[in-house]
Amino acid sequence: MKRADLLDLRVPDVLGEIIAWRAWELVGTEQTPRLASVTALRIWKTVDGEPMAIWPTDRFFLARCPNGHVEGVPVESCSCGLYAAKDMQQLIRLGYGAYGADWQMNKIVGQVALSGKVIEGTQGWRAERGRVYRLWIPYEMDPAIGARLEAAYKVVVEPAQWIDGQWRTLDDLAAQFMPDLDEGE
Amino acid sequence: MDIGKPERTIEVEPAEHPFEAPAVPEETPEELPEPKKAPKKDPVPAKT
Repeated sequence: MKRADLLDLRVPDVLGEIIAWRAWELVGTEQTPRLASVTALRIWKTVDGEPMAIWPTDRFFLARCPNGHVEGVPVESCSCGLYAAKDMQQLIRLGYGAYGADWQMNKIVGQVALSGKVIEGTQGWRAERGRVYRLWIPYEMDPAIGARLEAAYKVVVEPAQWIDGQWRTLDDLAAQFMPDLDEGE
Repeated sequence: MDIGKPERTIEVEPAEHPFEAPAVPEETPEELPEPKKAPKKDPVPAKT
C-alpha cells in the first residue's frame, strides 16, 4: 500500500448504512425508467455544467459539489451533499413526496442507503454517497414501470396509497385492518 | 431540503459491498518487473 493510500484511510464510525427517506422524479422511458433527484434535476450541475441528477443502477450515486468542492463532500460549511430525511413524515413535512393537488405521477418516494462521510442534522442527513434501497410507487402507476425499476435497481418496489397523510403499502393496510391475518386459524 | 441543525459528522462504511462489481479497481503493482531477456546464443555459423 502506498503512503498516500495510508494517509487517506478513513476509519468508520458506523459499520452498515444509514437508511433514510427521499423523493425522486421518474425520468427516462417506459422501457428504461430511471430515478433522478427532484431538486438536482432542475438546478444542480457540476462546475463543468454536467447534470448530476440521475441515479445509477449499478453503483453509488456520488454527491458532487456545485460550488466546486472536490474533496470532503459534503463540506460542513457548504450546502453540498446527498440529502435525505430521517423518516417519511419528516420528508413530507419538508415538502417532498406528499400526495396533493400538485402531485404528478412521475414522483416516487422511497428509502436510500447512505454511506461515506455523513452529516447528521436534526431533521435529516447530508451524505457523500447513497444507493436506492426501497421504493414505493403510487398504486395508480403502471405496475410494469415498477417491475422495471425493481429489475434495474435490484430493490423491492411496492405499490402504495396515500392515506391519512402518509404512504401506506398493502402490507401496512393488511396489518392495520386485518391484524389476525398472519396468525392462522 | 433542510436537514436542520447539524449535530455530528460520521464516517459510514457498508458492512458488505452492495453491488456485484467492486467499487474500487483491484490493486495493480506500481511497477511491473522488466521482462527477462532471452539468453544470447552464439550465432550459428553459416553452412558453406
